[in-house]
Amino acid sequence: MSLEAALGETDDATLDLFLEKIRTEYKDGWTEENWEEEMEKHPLFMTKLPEDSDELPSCVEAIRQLKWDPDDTPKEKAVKLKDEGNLFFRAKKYSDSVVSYTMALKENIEDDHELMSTLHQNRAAAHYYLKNYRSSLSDCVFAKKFNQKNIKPIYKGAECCFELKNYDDCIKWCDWGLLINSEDNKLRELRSKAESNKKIYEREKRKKETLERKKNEKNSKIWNLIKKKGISVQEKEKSFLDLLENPVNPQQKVVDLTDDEQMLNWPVLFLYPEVGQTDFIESFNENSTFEDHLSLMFNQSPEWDQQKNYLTSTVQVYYENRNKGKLVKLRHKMTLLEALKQDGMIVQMGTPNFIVMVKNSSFEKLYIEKFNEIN
Amino acid sequence: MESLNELIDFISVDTRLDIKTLALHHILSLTGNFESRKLLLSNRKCLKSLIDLAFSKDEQKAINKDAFFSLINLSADEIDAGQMMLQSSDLVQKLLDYILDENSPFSDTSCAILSNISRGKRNSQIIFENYFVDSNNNGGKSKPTVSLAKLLQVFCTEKFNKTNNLDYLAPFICNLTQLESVRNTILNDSIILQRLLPYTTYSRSIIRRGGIIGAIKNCCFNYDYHEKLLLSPDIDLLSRLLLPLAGPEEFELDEMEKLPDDLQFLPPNKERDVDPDVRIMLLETIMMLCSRKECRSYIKDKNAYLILRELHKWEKDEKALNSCEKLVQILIADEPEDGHENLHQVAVPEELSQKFYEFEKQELEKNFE
Repeated sequence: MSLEAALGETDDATLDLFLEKIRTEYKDGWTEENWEEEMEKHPLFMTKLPEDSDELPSCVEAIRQLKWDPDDTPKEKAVKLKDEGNLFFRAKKYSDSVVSYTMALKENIEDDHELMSTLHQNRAAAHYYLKNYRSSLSDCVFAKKFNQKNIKPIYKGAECCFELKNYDDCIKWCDWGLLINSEDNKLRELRSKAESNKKIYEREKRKKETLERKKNEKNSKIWNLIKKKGISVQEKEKSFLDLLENPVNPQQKVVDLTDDEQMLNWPVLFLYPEVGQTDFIESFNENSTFEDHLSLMFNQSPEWDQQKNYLTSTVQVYYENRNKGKLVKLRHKMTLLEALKQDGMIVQMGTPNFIVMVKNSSFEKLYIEKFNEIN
Repeated sequence: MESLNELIDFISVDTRLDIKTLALHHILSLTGNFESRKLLLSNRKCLKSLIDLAFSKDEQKAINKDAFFSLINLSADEIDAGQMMLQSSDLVQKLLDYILDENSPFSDTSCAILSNISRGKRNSQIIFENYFVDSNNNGGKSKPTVSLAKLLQVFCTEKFNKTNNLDYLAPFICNLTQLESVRNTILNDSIILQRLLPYTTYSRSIIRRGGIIGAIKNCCFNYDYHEKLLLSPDIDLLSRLLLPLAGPEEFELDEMEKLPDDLQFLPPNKERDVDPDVRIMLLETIMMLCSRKECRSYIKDKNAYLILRELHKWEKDEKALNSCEKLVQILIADEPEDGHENLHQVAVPEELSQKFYEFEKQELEKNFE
């Protein structure tokens, strides 16, 4: 009985009696000793969520029951969860709303097609704002499946496909929607936008394919030219082509065609074992001679050669004959192509390398001895 | 004649199956010949019986089929077809119903009959005015249930009918575009255009492709729509017309980048339309689009010449070469003097017109030699 009702039908005396009756002693008040503990139990003030294992404080239990009545049917539960999801959604807490809708969908409500459709559709919207376009799209498919006449998931589905740059599917979704309402301006506009974007997207795709194809064609040309010129490389065709894609030298250089596509420019490595130094030549034309490059390199003595021992006239170029396991001298006047065709010359990792030492030096003698011992 | 009438008596729903089958076979073979078609059509009963057998749900499928094929053959000649259509007021309705029924096993035959009997502007007009909702319907004989938009939508829905491909709907649609109201309906709805245009490169069926290109060509007779057709990025008619004419040739980057997006970076296995008549239709359509000054300069700016140049090197068909040359002439010629910008409105003096006519005639005769 409410207070107002009581007032309406009683006189002052009975009112006094009534007031006397409803006045109870306040026993559960917080004392100075336990207020902190009590406060922690109160849902308004608690600093951490109660653990699942804990017995719930009475206040929390009360609130919970207000919302989650154990007597609820699966449908009632699902609807409450849906409302909760909608609240989160409106507050822009999209991931929370996804959780609520997902829980709702776990209820046994398969028969309620409309509710299933709405839940999927709402979750699709939440996923969409989270930019989870694939998840959103899959929810749209279900939302559409459960309710063919529902236009909302069709909007979302079309928008997802648009975002995913899948313009053909976007057009398909728009067409589904236009079956429901052929005058729908939103879908008509989106479909037109998809048509125009598709052109640009497909052009980019074709461009990428064309560039890829050209690159592959060029790489095959390089491979065939190497074979035609009688140069041995260590790798088989496939791994060599991979090497052209992903060069292993730090300068990222690979053998390349000259403009007339008749000759090759190689990256070349010179090794100076005496001083532990190297020189890397990024593009060594096959018709250039060692002298061409040596004279450039030793025009000014390098930093590591204070004694000026390394001069074009004082050095000797060697290559390693891999068939015989020994070092072989090369003339300065020799072209790179001639050198690469020498017996036992095998290009490794796409980069020919040559050893350079000071002619008739004691190091040269020692090095050759050691080299022959090892091999 | 007497025996023919007897034969026709046998193809009635009530006849014994074996006799009916035989008689129908005989009629079907007769419909292959122009003279006997005339004879059969002159018998009013014949047409009615064939229609009854074709659409009867009680008959065997084979009977339906033979009756349908007989009807296709009978509708082969334009004048007779029109006659036939008038004789049987509900035939068109029945055909349309079958086409719109996604489970009908005879949609394709229905399309073929409709495309046959809609040839000729007058026939199309009768069909459109009496059986379509969106025309100015003056209370035709039966209440129309079909709208043009619906028919086009069915046509553009892949696998609408699981056993029939509805390809022959394309020539029917093409025939309908002889009517200005049909053209306007199509031209005013960019979604319809967006759905029809991809069929210019539809390699699976020349019927579908040719029919739709024909329809688009007809639509281009409405000159006022040219700018919309060319300049709206979601319609982009020029790309749709040039793409089937483009081959696998590679162009210099700066040349290619002037082309419409759809024509750029085409793969090395790109093929031109295999049918010379289709290529001619495409060329003639572009030619029509060159009529207005703004459109002409747009087509020039889009480097259409590049595609036509390569087509010309490749083309073997005399007539197609001729169309290609005419179009190139317009694209590379100087702009006409003031007052003559709209080519289709330029008045041609009588004597010149006569000369052109003679010239065309000679050209045509050359082709027949």
